[in-house]
Amino acid sequence: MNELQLIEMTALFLAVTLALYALLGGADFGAGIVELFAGGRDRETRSVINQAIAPVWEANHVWLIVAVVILFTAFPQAYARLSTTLHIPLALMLVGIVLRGCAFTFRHYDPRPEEQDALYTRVFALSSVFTALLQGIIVGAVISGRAGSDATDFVGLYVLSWLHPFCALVGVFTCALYGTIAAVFLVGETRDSALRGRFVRRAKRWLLCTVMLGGVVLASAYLFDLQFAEKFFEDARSRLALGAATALLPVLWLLLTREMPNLSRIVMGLIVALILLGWIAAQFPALIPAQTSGGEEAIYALAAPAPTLRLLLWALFAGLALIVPALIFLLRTFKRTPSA
Amino acid sequence: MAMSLGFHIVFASIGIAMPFFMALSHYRYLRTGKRSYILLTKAWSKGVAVFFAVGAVSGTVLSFELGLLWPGFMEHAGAIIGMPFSWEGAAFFLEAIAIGLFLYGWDRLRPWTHWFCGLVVGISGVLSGFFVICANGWMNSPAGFDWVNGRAVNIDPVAAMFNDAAFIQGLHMTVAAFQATGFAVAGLHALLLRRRPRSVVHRDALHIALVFAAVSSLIQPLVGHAAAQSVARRQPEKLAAMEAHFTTARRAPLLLGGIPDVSTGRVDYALAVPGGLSFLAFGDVDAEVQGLDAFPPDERPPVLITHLAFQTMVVIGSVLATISVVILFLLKRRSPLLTSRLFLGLLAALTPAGFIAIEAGWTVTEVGRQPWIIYRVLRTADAVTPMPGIVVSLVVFTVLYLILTVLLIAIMRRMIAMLHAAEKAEGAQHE
Repeated sequence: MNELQLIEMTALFLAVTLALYALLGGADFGAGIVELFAGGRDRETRSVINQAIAPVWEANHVWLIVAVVILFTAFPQAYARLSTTLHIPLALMLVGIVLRGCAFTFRHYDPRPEEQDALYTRVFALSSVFTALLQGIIVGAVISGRAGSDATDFVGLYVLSWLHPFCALVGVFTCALYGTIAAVFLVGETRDSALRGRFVRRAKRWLLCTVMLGGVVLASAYLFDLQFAEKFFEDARSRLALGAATALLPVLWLLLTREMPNLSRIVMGLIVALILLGWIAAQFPALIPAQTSGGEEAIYALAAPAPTLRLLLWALFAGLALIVPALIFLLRTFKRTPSA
Repeated sequence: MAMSLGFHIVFASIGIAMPFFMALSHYRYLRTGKRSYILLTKAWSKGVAVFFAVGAVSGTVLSFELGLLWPGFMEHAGAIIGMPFSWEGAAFFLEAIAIGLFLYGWDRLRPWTHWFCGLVVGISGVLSGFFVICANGWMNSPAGFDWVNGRAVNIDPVAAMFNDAAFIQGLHMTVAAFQATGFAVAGLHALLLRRRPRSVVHRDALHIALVFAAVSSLIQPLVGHAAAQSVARRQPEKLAAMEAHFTTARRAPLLLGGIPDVSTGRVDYALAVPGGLSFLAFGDVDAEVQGLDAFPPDERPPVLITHLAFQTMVVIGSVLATISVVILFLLKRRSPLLTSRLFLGLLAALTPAGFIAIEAGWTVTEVGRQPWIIYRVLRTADAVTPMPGIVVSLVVFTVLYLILTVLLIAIMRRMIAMLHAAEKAEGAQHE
């Protein structure tokens, strides 16, 4: 495998881990978001959420760490650069991650939860939204090229790199997307048909919301005259991704109506993968696009030397060979849709 | 970052050692059916679940903080030392899966499969700890690259990962995790047993924890000695700072206690053992040990902190090792002295000792490496983020961790109360 292929393969791995994180970690954050919007009195939703997330959330969130490790091993300068310009939203995101994980676990394990339940629940729900919002902002900052800013003053470099309406919209979209993933996944977590019906209706509402917001994001990309908009609609791959994702929407709708949770989950996963694909295709091969063309940093220029990449890929393959079966075992142990 | 690491290391240590304590208790239950063992295993697993969660999220913070705080380090080091981080990530992934299976699989897995999952948590914990310490070892003993014009070239990640410091540091920390967790758990259960002398659960817990604590405490001085010899060979100025050894000399004295004064180059109030340092560092009383004077002033680590931290760690280690001899003796003899109020009180007092030693030890190795972030290659000052106002991050995370600590303590207390209620209910059933 020559060096270019090595780099592309590594970038592919990075994309796949991000997609898995968006799907699985997103489902966890989404659960908190769904809970927030479901209202305090919806006990059934809460208890289903608790049961659904508890065994798998630790494993789900490791994908983020894998993605970060790939990034700093294979594209260290990009990692360093993003960590500098996006310091503030990244730090805020971390606060959200810590609060969410702890609130959820404490709520689950505190033997006398009544005393602090309200606190845990509020923190869990709010930090889920907060983190999702920030993750979207960070992605928006990268996509729009603002993160690649070479400003020299504090505000320009550390604030304007991410504080912008487009980034905020991507943030809101991310919240909606995560909420939808969670809502779809929740359908399969209960046998109770009345509850299921409610979950299906909720999932559909969230889906509609997300589609609308997706449209808003793309429209705003045009309005703000972002390079991203141009590339997204020009590139054959991202057009294909958009088309395929759109085509899958009625399929998902139908599967939800027919209450077929496992297929719904698969289609949801495909949609998420396609969204990520569309994003990446629009900016490939740039890892950190720049607002002005020519300033971007392509993966080829940023990549670590071949020996590092080769060893990383081996480690990833070997790791996945161990982890994927283990993960499947975990999910099957707890997610087998209960038979009456 | 030191703050996040200092916080994380406590949880990581518990995550490394506790699964083995649980596996032992669980094993005994599966073999003997004795109810106290299952109560203990379940109680411990709830505690572990909560600690694991906090450890995991603080670990996530760290993987980002590498870049947030040290972009100048990561842009050079990432490609070189990324490998052990990916292995650590893989091991941690397995650990996260295994703990999900263990904590929630009581009714869904066959008993011995379930037990095995618990064991896997421990094994992958040990491995991931080892791997991540390879990265720190590399910072102390850089390998696998050439530094040309401010860049790393000819990168060899394998050589980097298996650097000279990796194994001994990894071993020292792993043993320390068992030691600190062992004494902390023993101390906690000793305190509880003191209040409820008839509790079988606490007695069983104490026995298990003490075995791990004592054995590791007796191994540790040997490992620590090897680690110090490694430092003497590879990072002489760190050794000089640790031992407050200002003047290069043969037959260098070992200084016990004392407060170093950098301006005068003297150590006041110390007890000096002639030739002791030369002997310990190199096995030869006449060997020359480099003092701080052998190094340019801007390459000398801060002596006061490094020396005091080192002495703290060694004193605690020695105390724990001594007590461990007593513990093993009492265990062997099944002596009632082990559960006497006096001894239990002593153990309770030692609860935080191991963790204080761990924090002290990390202080030694990190502060003792200054001014370098990559020893003799890259200075810490050149690697730090250019973003102003970092102190805000520090304050935010410190406050966050403090809040979490307070909550954890409250939760632990409630869990203990629940355990007592459960034990009481079991006792009532048998009457």
